[in-house]
Formats: sequence, structure tokens, C-alpha cells
Amino acid sequence: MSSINKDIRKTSHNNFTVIVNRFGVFFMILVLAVIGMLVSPNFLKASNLLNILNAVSYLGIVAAGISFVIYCGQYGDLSAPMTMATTGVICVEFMRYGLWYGIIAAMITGVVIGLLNGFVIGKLRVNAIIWTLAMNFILEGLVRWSYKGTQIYPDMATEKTYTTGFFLPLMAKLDPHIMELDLVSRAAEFNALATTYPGGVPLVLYVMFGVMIVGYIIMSKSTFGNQLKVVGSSFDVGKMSGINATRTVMFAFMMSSLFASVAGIFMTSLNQVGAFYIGQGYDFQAVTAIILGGMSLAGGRGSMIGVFGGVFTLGLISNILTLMGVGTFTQKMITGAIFITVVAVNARSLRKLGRDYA
Amino acid sequence: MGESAFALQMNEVSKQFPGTLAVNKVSFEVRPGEVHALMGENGAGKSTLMKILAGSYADYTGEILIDGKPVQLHNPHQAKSEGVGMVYQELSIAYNRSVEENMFAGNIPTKGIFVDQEALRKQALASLAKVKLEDKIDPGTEMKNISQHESQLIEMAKVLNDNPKILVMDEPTSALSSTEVQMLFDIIREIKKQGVAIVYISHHLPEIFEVADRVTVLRDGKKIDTCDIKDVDNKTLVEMMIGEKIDDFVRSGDSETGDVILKVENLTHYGFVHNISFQLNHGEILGIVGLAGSGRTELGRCLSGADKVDYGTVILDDEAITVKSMSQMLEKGIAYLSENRKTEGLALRLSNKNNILSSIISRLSRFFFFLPKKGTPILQDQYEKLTIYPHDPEITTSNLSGGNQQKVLLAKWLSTKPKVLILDEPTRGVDVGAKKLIHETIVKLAEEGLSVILLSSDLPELVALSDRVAVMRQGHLIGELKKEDGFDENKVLLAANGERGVFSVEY
Repeated sequence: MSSINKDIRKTSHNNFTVIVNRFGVFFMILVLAVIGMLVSPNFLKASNLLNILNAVSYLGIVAAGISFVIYCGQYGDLSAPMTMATTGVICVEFMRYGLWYGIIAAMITGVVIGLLNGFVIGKLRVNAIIWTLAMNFILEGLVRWSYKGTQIYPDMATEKTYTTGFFLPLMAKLDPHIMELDLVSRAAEFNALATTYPGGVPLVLYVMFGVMIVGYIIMSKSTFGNQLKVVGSSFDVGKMSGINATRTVMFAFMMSSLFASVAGIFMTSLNQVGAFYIGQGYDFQAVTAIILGGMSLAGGRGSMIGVFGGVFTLGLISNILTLMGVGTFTQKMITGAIFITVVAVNARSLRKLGRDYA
Repeated sequence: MGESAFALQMNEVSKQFPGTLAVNKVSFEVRPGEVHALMGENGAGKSTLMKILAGSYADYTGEILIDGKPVQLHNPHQAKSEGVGMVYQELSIAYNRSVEENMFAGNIPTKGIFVDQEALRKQALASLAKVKLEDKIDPGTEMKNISQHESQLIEMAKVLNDNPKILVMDEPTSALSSTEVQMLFDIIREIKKQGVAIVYISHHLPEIFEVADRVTVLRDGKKIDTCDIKDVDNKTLVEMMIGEKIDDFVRSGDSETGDVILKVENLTHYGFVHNISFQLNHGEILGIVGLAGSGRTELGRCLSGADKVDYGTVILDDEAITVKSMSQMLEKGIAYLSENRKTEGLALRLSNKNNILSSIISRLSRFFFFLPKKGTPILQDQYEKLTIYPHDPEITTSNLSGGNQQKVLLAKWLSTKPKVLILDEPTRGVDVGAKKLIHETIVKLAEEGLSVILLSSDLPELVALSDRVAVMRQGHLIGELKKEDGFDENKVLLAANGERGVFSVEY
């Protein structure tokens, strides 16, 4: 071979870094499992493990959605909490026509919010964090103003609560007979969503796995997912490769809001109340879980399997802390500390990667 | 003479990276008041050697003497205080601050707790005088309003403020036009007179011959030789760099071109390109030359659908096309290789496979699913044709040398099987071996019937490859030079500068 082809430079990353990046979270799960066993004999019981999964299933659905945004190189979707709340409320309002009407209306609302986010961020290139933060604020205002700050209990619907609202009078204009529909009996159906256990496993857990499997296929196997990877790694390269980068970003935000709306429906059902605070804190936790799962904040790296790992890890930590008798507020501080650590490690490994550019 | 005959001596310096010896017992001397060119292909160890000098590594071995005195350069601060100044390719600029603040960042004169504006202005002007900018630039201007060329000089002035004994310049001319290069050379000669030892890193051979006194060539981490510049010529230098004999690249064989494949009429993007009309034949290589800002790149971007086209017709294979988007033009068969490899060409954090297939994801898909397996034969084909090294498509692109990255970029566009391939600076920042291969590939493709539009500021390349050279100036095509009439670098350069009377056809 001639010397032209002889290249003495390092040709691959340190394999250890790659492994830690990709599968580190499962190693962490293993360590946490051992700690869990030491802390409490009840830890390994099937009921406890199911508990953990159940507790994080809402987070899992939201994280699966936001992971598309992060994969797309856009740092996060901070409008997720209010998307959950808003779509929950929409679901309650529309289920007068039937439960499925409510669910579909909620999901359509999610898609609309996501497309709007995606358009502004992908087309007008507005900073994603700032825009989604503002979106969250606007949606919160909308929901609280609509209900004059009160909450909406589907099973205790009275005419009084509803005439003051925004959504219902609007709907009443479109359909004058709406007040004759019976919401209260639908409410039982709706509230049961979060408490159904087909085959002894909560319904929402099936949904989480379903959402993650669909998310995995779209992200890693589909045409769109592979284009998203290029756009996520570099928006300009994507654009200059004949990929419609704007549409790709819009799709990523749409997935985020769509999945958030699914989580919102279940969360509203679990709380048996539609209110602005449904979903609070989920944006932050989801981003923590996603980065914990090895997805890079710079985009284009990671997978849905890692996201599941990250979500499960947060569940384990919370469960172990609870078994140890640590309070909720302390747990919040610990989650925050984990977030800082994970982001710091992520930034450091990015810098390492960056150094190889030269 | 005593020991201090050399401003810098590096004796048997080595630097080990995990798995490779990047610099292998290199000895290297620079005299005060000389310009010493450091040459080698990408990955030869030039940058590592200079980083050692800049104090970037604490674990090099060997001995470094500055003015005959042994020194330890284990961190950038030590290097700076020993008199080593570095001007890098990538500038360190705070764009929203003024010129003077940038020049004296970290060292701003103060009066009590306030900035001493007067002293700062005085210092700045004195410093700007060193690079002959004192009349041209108001030190209070914000840095973002300063041209690339002037920013580079300001960066140099900043380094000169510390009165370095040794000044290292890494590819200082890569973004400059030829007049700007001459200005830079004048300044270099000025600095040289003051006894500063200058290490000059460049890929560009003609520059070396113009400005350097001696040259040292590195290859695979080892020093090959140090010569006086008058003892070597272009060819021997290149041979030293790549370690084998090469012939001057001449396009062999007749360039037979077929019927018209692309016809462009009155193509206009307001403010960038105006009323561009030309024809391109099957298997033809059309060179387009023009100074910076002539609209060369913009023409490529318009034709490929990357930029908006305001009006004009594009007829490809007898089909009139309204340019709408890049994906549409790719589908029709026009591909555009961008001049900005790192920002628009390749996603450096992805694998070579991802990068090469990135423009044909939808073509390799069925229904909803992307089928990367369908791309395997394409990858194999491109890897063989372009001898991309290392031969592993799963490697992250950022780990490849510049030359191999450029091959990956070329492979990305060839995989789209274009009818017309627009190449914008296809060999910028690429080492000699890769450059030769890319040239050979372009010619071979043209012989196989691919039509190529070559946008390049590398005149020898343009002259060697093109069948015709069209000249752009201020957004207009002003004429063309035909091969039959004979063109050389000189003529092309005259044409690009708007000199009339050299064209075969004037528009």
C-alpha cells in the first residue's frame, strides 16, 4: 500500500466512552438494583417493580415525545407540562360526545400545539427553549383564564362551573345541544382509564410501552427518523442534503406534543380533575431521564431504549429513596442534583468529541 | 556563532497519543529573522508539533531551546512568556466588542476602576501600525463590522503585542484573496526584519516559494528534511510530502463532450446573481472563476435549489424546471457540493455511512422504512473508487483527516447519481494525495458522461480540469475562455479581474 493511504491518526473514539455513553444507564440500573435489595427486602418483589414502572409510566410517555425534540438538536420542549394540562381539559370537555371523542380531540390539540412550536422553531429559527417556555406560559394563562382559576371535576359537573369557561361557551355556539349531553356518566368511564389493570398491569403501562415501541421504530428505523438524525446533528447539513429540515423539526415537536397529550389524558384521569397544574415538573424530569439515557443534547445521538433506561432509573432512585424514608422535597433536590451532574457529564463528553474535529 | 544562532531549537521531540506516535523524534530549528515553512499532509504531525510549542501538552519528550536556553513548555502561559506567539486559522474574537477591547482583552489599561480610554486608543493605534491598519481601522469599531481579512491581521497584531520571539502562523491565507495575501506577505517581511522567527504552515505551495526562506517537511510524524527554499521545487516538495514520485496533474485524453444537458437562461437571484445564461454539455467540465463576492457560490446554490431563484429558466435534459427546493433538484439530477465542509457538507458527529447516505435517505426507503442495507453496495462502490481511509463506514467522520472527509463528502453527492455535479471548492484544505485523487475522480466521471460545474479559486486546478472556463464578476457572467484557444493561470486571473480582450467569447 502506498504511503498516501497510510494514516497514522487515531481512527476511533475511546471505546469505553462510547460504551458508557450508550449503555451506561443500564449499568446504573444494575447498581441501583443492588442498592435497592440492600435497602429493603421488599424491593425485588414483583409488586414493587410494577409499582416503579407504574409510577414512571406517565414520565415515560412524555420523555418518549421530548426525546424526539432533543434528538433533533433542539434541547427540549418546555411546553410539555401545559400541553398535558390543556389536552387533559380538552379531553374532559369533548368526552360529552363519547370517551373516544375526548381522546381524539385532545390528541388533535396536542398535534396543533406541536406543529405551531415546530413551525416557529424550524421555520423562523427561534430558540426552542425560549419559545416553548413562552408557549407554556400562554397555555397556562389560557387554561386558568378559561376556568376562572377553578378546576374542572368531570364527575361533579354543574352548569355553573361551565358557563364561565371559555371552551364550553365556544363549543356551545357550535353545538347548542351540548349542555344536554351527560358528562357525569362519561366521567366514570374516563376516571377509570388510569385505574384499569388489564391482566393485572396498569393500562397506562401498556400505553407507555406502546408509545416507546412506536417511538423507537420512528426514530431508528423510519425514513423520517434517519432524516431527523442528520438534521439533529446539524441543521444546515440537513438542509443542504435535500432534506426538508423545517418539516423535520415540525414533526419532532409534533411527536413531543402528541405524546404529551397522551400522558395528559391519563394524568387528568388519574387526578380525576382537569387543571393547569397537571403535568408540572414533567419537562424537567423528562429531559433528565433522556440525557441519563445517553441522548446527547447536541442532537442526533441516542435511542428510545436509552430513554426507557433513563426513565426507569429515575423511578428506581425515587423508589429506593422512598423505601429509605426520604421525603418528597428532598427527592426533588436529589433529582435536581442528578440533572446537573448528568448535564455536566454530557457537556464534558461533547467537548471531548468536539476536540476530535480538528 | 554561538548557541543563539537559532531562535528555536526542538531536539528529538516526540508526542505519544494512545495508539499512535503523532510526532516521532522531530528535530527542528528556526533562525531569528527567517520564515520557516512547515509542510506536510493532514495528519503528518505539523499541528501536533506546533501545539507542543504552544504549550498545549505537558507530556512531550525531547528538548526545546529558545534563544539557546532550554525551556519547559508545559502550559500555554509558559509558552507565551517564553516568547511563543500563535496565530491560528480559527480566530478568537468577541464579535460584539470593539477592536481595541479585543486586542487588549485581559490587559486593558485602567484609571482607577475605569477603563483608560485614551491610553487604550493609543496602544491600539500603535499596535495596529504593526500590521499597517492604523489608517484603515478605527479602534472603536465593533469587531463584527471588520472583514475576515482585517480580523486576521488584528489577531496578528494582538499576538505581536506580546513581542514574541517566535511567531507561528497556521494557514493564515486560507480565507484571503490574492491581493490580501500580498498585503499579509508585506507585513510578514516587515516582522521578519525585526528579527522574529516565523514558522509558517500552509498547504499552498506557491505561497511557500514566495514567502519562506527554508522549509521543513513532515510525514507520518517524522521529519523528512529541511531545505533552503531555493534548493527545492514544487515537485520535489510534493514528493517529500507524500513519499512517492508524482507527476504533474495533466488531464489526459481528449475531452469529448456530447450534446447539451443543461441550459440556463437569465437565472437571477436579486442581489447575488443576475441574468446568468450558459450551456453545459454531457461529459463537460465547466470551470467558473471569479473573485470573492463575484456570485460564484451563489450561482451554485441557486442551481441546486439551496437558494431562491427569482426568475430565469433551467432546462435539464430538455425538461424545463422551476427551481423550488434542493430535494427537487436532487431528484432531477443536480447535486451541489458545498464549499463549507464542516458546516454545510458533513455532520461530523455522525458516521461516514450516515453522512454518505444522508442525501438519499428517502430513495433508500420503502413506504415508511429506511433500508440502510440497500445502501451497502453504494458505500462499497464509493469506498473503492475514492479509496476512503480507513475502510470502515461506521467510523465517526470527525476522526478522518481533512482529505478523507472531503472524499466522504464527494461520495455523498456521487451516491445521488447526479447528471450535473456542481463542485464548490472541492479540494479546499485537502492534502496533496487526496487532491490528486479527487482530480482524477472528477476527470474519470466526466469521461463517463457526468457533467461538472467546477467553482474554484484554485487556478491551477481550474485550468487543469476545465474544458471551458466561464468568468463571473459582480454577479454577472462576463465571458468565457475556451480550451481550444488555450488558457493558462495567468489568462484566467486576468479575466477574473475584469480584463477585457482575453476572452474567447464575451457576453
